Amino acid sequence: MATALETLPLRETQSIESVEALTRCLRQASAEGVPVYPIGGATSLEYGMPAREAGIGADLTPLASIVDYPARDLTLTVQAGVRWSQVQAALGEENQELPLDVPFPSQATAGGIVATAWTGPRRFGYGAVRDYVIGIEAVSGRGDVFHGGGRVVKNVAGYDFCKLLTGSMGTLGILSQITFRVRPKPERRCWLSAPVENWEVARELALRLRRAPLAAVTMGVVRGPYWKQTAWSECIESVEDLRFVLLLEGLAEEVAGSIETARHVATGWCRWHEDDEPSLVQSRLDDLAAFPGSTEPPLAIRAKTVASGAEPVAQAILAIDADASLFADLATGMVDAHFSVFPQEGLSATLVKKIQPIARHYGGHVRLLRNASGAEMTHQVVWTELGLPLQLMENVKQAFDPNNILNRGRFVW
Amino acid sequence: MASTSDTTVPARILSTLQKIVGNRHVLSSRSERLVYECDGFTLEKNTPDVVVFPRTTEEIAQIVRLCHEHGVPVLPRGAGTSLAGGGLPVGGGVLVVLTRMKDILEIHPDDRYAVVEPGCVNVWLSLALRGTGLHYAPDPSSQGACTIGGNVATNSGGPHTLKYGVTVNHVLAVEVVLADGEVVVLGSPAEDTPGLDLLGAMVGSEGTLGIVTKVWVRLTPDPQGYRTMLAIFDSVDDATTAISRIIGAGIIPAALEMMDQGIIEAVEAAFQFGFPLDAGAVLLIEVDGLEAGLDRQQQDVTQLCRDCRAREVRVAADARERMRLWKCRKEAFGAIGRLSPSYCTQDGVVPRTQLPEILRRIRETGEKYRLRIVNVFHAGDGNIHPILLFDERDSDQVDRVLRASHEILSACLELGGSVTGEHGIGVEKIGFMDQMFSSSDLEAMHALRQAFNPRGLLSPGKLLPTAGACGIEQRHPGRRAAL
Ligand SMILES: Cc1cc2nc3c(=O)[nH]c(=O)nc-3n(C[C@H](O)[C@H](O)[C@H](O)COP(=O)(O)OP(=O)(O)OC[C@H]3O[C@@H](n4cnc5c(N)ncnc54)[C@H](O)[C@@H]3O)c2cc1C
Repeated sequence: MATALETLPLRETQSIESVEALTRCLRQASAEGVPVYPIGGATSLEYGMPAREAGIGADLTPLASIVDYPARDLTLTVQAGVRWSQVQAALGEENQELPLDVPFPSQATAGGIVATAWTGPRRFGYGAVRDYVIGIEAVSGRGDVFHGGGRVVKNVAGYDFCKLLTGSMGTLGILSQITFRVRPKPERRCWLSAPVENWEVARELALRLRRAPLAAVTMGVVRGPYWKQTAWSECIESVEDLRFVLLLEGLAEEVAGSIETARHVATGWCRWHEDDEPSLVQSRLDDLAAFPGSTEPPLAIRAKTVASGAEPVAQAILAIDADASLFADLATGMVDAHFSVFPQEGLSATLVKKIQPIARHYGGHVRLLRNASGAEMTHQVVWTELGLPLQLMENVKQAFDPNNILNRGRFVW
Repeated sequence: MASTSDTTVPARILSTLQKIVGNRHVLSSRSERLVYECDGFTLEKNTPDVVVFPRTTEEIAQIVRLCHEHGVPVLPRGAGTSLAGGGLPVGGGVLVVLTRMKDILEIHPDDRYAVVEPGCVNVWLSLALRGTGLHYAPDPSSQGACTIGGNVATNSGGPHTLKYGVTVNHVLAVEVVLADGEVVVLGSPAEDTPGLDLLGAMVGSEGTLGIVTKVWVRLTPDPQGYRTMLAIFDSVDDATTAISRIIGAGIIPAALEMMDQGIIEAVEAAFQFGFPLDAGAVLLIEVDGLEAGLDRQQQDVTQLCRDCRAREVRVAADARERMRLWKCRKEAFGAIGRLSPSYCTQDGVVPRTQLPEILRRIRETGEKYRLRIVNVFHAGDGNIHPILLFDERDSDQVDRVLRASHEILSACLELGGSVTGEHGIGVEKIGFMDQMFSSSDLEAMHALRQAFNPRGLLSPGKLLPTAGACGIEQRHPGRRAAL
């Protein structure tokens, strides 16, 4: 994890103690036309286009309180700077959780997770960040506080700023407070895993499992040297092994029934290894969540396609780098990959020419998570050329941040 | 379709519209246009100047470009079942009715999505998916009539939102004709498209940001089994306590619907389900999912209801009995016709734990305004639907309905909720926007609309109070029924 000072051209950092302080900071920066870079847990500051212009860092970690947690209503309101592990700990006391798993949960903040719309390994079972945000407060690039949604789980009054701001990378407003809808914790969890012969088998097995009645929340393949240093190590014999992994969660009976069903479906394909010791289950999940945030690899990417695209994308990555480590989520079409070496031909020749077209063919894109070389950081390399309605996005940006101070130059336009 | 035109729209525009969609698909005579003077919200009416029925995105783009050039308002309409007046042609203009664009274009079972045209009726998609093991989850009670385009525009919910979410959680992408006629696609079936989530902003925007011309929807696996229960309580308070206890126990039912005594009476008169007429409230509770977990959930729910003094808990023994239990919920609206000539279905939300309080306030409001109010609603979400019974021909009653509605919705806000959970703001609730939102919230919403719809020609007079910031007086369009 790199620090804010290493990744952002900061000329000063302001510690944001209150919404009023945030408003003051943004009003002044707006008047002066100075860029402002919101900083949460500093776990994803490399994500997106690199910041080039010197500006002010707005450190949101002092905004760290849990504002309201009516557990019976299954909602939770927190300030944006609260650490994710603290959120989960509070929920855990009521046997509830937010099934959004992130790298560095003790660092990452609620605001950062919502601003990046970060997806974790349980996406298949529980959906995306945007599905959990029901209320939001932010300060726009004009320095005005605004809200969307509320504290109730169902609400269609006014435009849905919860969705608009989720994943906006802080370019429309700096998030100050968020209300989530939360879930009861599953009663039982169990990993099934098995070596599979090749990608075709993995794909076919995933298809069959997806059609079967299962309490599956994660379904994919881990592969490569990275996993040797993790809670998955005992599952990985050689770096070429493909390990099919399946996380089952739910009532005890549902998990037990699903294990039977998964056995039945996989007959003749693979033999499951079963692990349900709670701390092992959790550390394996944590390791999957941490993988895309690792700063070890020279190049890390995340591809997102429809489900059937994960396998061809994974194969395309391995064709370029046979020693790449990856997690291919075969149920949601997400592939996280670490390259073992920086591709000699460069990113345009590899990412743009070879991997992005396959992702696009399956309706998706590839984003760059880490590029140790710092070279070729073009929009096309970082986000994929998708023919987005950029003019419309810029109009919206202009409406919220007319002086373009928020995360200037770091997003898709 | 066409008979003599008597619209105020200039002849040149009218003839261009006729060229774009064909004569047969343009209505311009007053008698024909009158049908479109309102939607499911009948308290306010105004006739559109022209009604067009395009068949393709390109036709819609041409219509919108034409209107853009000439400064004419454009309003999309699906089936017209909106209960908030979203389809009311405030300020006249061209009404673009999407019911001819009704095809299901693609179904991808393995990638779990389908592509439909906006005029596709919600239930048609479910019917087309039978046998695939998949379904489209949002199921508004009006699903036999309302369109998926309309569902997208209002972010519809339904009895299954508690577990499965609302429309926005099931829409992967939309093709949209923007205010100047440009066609864009927002989102993608792969989801997580880089850039701003304009798809999320479009869903629920009630036609004010663009006309949705194609929808990519998520398909959800059918549950392996169901357990459907009907719990009968002596009092509303016992029923609402049971709801809190069920959710508190970590059970998320697929549906948790409540009917109060007034509705039970009407349903009983219409269908003779054998409900005790003196019951204070009935909960329809359905758990679904893997068969393996259902018996225990059913037992737990039954026990929790008994702990809350349920008089009786009936369990559907088979699919036929399940359909019968659901029938009494789904047909409840139909049964209301027996109670009074007109009714107004309100829509508000409170935190679940405030249900006893809001129901008490609804009762008091009914007494105060001498109105009969019955309740059938999505209790698990805290989404209330008080139904105010009245006679539209009596202007005093209409007035009392409006005032009582206002009081109930204000109470929802006071209790930390919202004035709409699924029907939208439309024209009906614009007056509440500045109670729910601050002036800077509203400014931000105006700014967003401005970015999409700079001249304000798309669905004018909807969703946001007019002219700038807060405290704006709402123009009441056209005439008011019976006022
Ligand atoms: C008996 C009854 C029960 C109901 N139950 C429910 C329920 O359980 N849950 C629920 O959420 N709602 C319910 N409703 C309300 C209504 O059915 C929904 O709001 C529905 O989504 C409207 O769909 P429609 O096709 O009728 O849209 P319309 O009424 O025609 O239009 C609604 C709004 O959407 C806009 N619009 C329509 N099509 C498009 C498009 N293609 N692009 C852009 N904008 C468009 C219109 O301009 C308008 O603002 C109920 C209504 C009735 C009468």
